[in-house]
Amino acid sequence: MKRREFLKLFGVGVAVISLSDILPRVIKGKELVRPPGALVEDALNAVCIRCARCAQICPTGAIVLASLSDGFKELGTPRIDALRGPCERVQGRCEGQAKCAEICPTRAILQVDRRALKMGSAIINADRCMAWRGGSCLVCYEVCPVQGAISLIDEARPIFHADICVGCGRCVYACPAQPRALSLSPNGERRPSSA
Amino acid sequence: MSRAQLVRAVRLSLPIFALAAIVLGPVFHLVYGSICTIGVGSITLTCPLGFLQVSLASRSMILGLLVPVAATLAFTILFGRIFCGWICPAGNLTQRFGEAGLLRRAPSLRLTSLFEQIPTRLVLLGSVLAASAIFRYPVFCVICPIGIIYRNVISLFQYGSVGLDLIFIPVIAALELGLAPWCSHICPLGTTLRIFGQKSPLVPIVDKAKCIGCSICTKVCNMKVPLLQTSNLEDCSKCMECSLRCPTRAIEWRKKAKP
Repeated sequence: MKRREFLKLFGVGVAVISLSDILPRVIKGKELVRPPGALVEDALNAVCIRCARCAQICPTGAIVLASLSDGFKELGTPRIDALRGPCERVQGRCEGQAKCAEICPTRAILQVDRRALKMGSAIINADRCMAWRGGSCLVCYEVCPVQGAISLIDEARPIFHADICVGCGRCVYACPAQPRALSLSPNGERRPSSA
Repeated sequence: MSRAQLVRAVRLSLPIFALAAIVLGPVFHLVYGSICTIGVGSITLTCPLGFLQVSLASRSMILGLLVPVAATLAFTILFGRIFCGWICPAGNLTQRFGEAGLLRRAPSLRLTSLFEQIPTRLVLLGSVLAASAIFRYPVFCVICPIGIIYRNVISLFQYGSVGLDLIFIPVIAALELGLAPWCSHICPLGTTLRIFGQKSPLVPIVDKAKCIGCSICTKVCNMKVPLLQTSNLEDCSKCMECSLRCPTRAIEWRKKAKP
């Protein structure tokens, strides 16, 4: 092979490999709340084949596909968007089996005991909360499926216990304040490291 | 409707039909997944390139995908790159661009001759696999135009919005302008299918007695295969344009005679 041709081929290889390294550095990954039983971040990004099956089967529509704004490496992987729906693995339609884990072809999402689940935690912004602003709203407290995750001060104002909250997003989805007083974060999440 | 129009109509509507099946499938609990890994009832098919990338990235053997991948490869061994001509939505898009003449007015920075060579395409595919193994994510899957089209159509149907990743579709169209034809010269999935489908018996055969040497078959070929000058038909996507447009009907589809 001529040297010139070899150099061109070498250039193509170097271009592909360096772009594969540069793009995820430039378009950095955000902290995302992942479906129940999703592998730890690096393993999930490696093994997820980006087929969208989990998003299709999720009964509440809580699973959406990560977009470019969520990171380059993360593109097309599943994340929980509590504004679209809550995860019902803890209580509701997925109590028996997590449907996303059941349908995942690459075992990027595993069946995890629903009592051992921890996807993250809900965060309250008291400035927006109707109860904290003097109104009477206990919607988050009423919909929460986890005992002790939300407690009330003076039987009126909710406080959130991040260590007990499993991050199902039910309160975030139900919060009637506009803009919403609650958001979901992956803080404190526990995820399986491999299949 | 002539036979040519009928074949073309079926070929152009199949990718749209496949998109519709994937979007509506879950509503009837029939079809789940995009083309990357699609399950129709108990039959599952998996993209061989996706499988290779996630296997290398996760450094594990994904047992559940072995049968779906074997099924796809068996299909490819029999029918070659038929996926490229009949199912792939990206190919359909870029070929419509091509027909509209949008890509013929390409600027001069074209590197077609570089990408025309098979080693370039193999190096491209090899680097994609190597990068997946090094950086631990399926590097082509995230920008694969097929995946992007399917994921966004699914998103649009499920929750009424599309992602920013759609920006890669014009980027790939620009690549086609600046570098080489995407489907026939760049697409790593096409190269993968080419490797496994190169011995496909389904190829166009020119009847030398009827051929008048007009080269229309080469001009209309979606995969730029110079049919009259070559016996290398590995890139043929079985689109049938050559046989349908041949003025003397000199091209037939039949099993390659054994040498």
